[in-house]
Amino acid sequence: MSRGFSEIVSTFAAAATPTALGVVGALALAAPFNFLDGLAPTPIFALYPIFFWSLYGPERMPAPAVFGVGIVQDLILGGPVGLWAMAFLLAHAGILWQREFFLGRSFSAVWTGFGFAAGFAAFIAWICASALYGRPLAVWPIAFQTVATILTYPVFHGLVRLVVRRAATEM
Amino acid sequence: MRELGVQSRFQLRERVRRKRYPLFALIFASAAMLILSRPSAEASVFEKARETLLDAASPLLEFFSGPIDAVHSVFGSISDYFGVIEENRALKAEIAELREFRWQAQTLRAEIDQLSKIANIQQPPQIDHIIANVVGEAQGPFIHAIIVDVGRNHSIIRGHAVIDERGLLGHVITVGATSSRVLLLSDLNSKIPVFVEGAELQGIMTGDYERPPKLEFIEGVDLSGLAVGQRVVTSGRGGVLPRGIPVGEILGLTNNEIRVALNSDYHRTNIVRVLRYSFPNDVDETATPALLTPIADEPRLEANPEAAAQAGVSQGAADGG
Repeated sequence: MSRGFSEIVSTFAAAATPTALGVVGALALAAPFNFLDGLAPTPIFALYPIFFWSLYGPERMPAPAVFGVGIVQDLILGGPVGLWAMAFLLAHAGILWQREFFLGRSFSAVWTGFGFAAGFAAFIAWICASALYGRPLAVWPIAFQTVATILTYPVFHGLVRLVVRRAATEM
Repeated sequence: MRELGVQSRFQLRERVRRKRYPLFALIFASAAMLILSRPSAEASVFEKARETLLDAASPLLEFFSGPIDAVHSVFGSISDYFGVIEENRALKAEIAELREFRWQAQTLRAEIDQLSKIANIQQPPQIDHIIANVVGEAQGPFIHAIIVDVGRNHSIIRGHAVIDERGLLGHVITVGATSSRVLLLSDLNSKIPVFVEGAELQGIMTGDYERPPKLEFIEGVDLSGLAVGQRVVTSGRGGVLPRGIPVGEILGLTNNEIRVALNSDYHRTNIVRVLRYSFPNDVDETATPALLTPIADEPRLEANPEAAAQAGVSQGAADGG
């Protein structure tokens, strides 16, 4: 009985973790990190779990979860609602489309894929924001933030793989 | 066998297609939400959701900001290391200058109070303030806002001005129970009525994303009096922000654009002050305009013996001179 219950809990936790990480990532974007007195941009943390699980376990990062993470990011940042939801969903669709190509490839290939996905999401966000404000917005803030996101992705990827491997060994 | 293969392939394709429906539906939903939030960040239909999430996320943001503050306090800011002696010297000079200004301000304040009593001028509403910690900062590339740890429970309302030790940072746009979001002056949605001292001009200062905010004036106004370095303060027009809060100074007048260098710097601000005030909104339009009564009106001076005595002294002094 108790074993069954613990199995249910662990299954639920495993299923909810990717979305929870996405939500925490979206909220963390509003934390006052101020790297180098605001000179270094804060990475778009929510993109890490969205990319990782869209590639390696899309059933744990379905479209409604991606949408939810995007909406949380929009609401906490205070900007137009739907902006990051749209960007994340289109990036998610792109990853699903190219999923078979990236599965089983080396990490550098996956990292390049993440670069494309992050760049695509940033481009969509920039297009939408420029359309909303009625003029082309400066490109460099979103470009710097995307570069910071791409450069720091290996840390997340490495950590998650480490945790997954440990969990697999314990089981 | 072959028929079975065709059928399973068909079923797989059908399953993939069915999985795409929610994705497309959510992309359309996002687009619809974007259109709905089009007017501006302030007049959004999603305000209630923002307030709720702000309150829910506030403890988590405080949790994040704790270690961040600790790291900042241990290592300090990079520029502090390089400019500590120079900064110390500048601060000492500034203190000496401010002492002089304080003395002048106290004298002027006393004179204004005295004259206001004589003329029976209604004083502007008292401004109270509350100190708040910055627990969040919108790190998105399209919005410039901070989150502070005071809200409705601390009598904060939309529109309250937020300042740091240098000047105006922005104003409150979303109020939760225990936290609020402050729209910074550099945000594209920020429009503040300002007054340029020296040029004596009223204008609107608009945020311009990553560039310094720009000043806009009514068409046809003579701008020849404007000069680089003139002080820009809030004008108090529009009944949103109190007048006289330092904002910045004129940075440049090139290409038909007037830019303002802001005094405040939100990257280096952890503690802010939220100014709590309310504009008088109980004006009786049918009442006699009391302020238009002549100053030397005798009955009013009698009604205020102290002011009458002061007026008598002033009059006597004037007569004597």
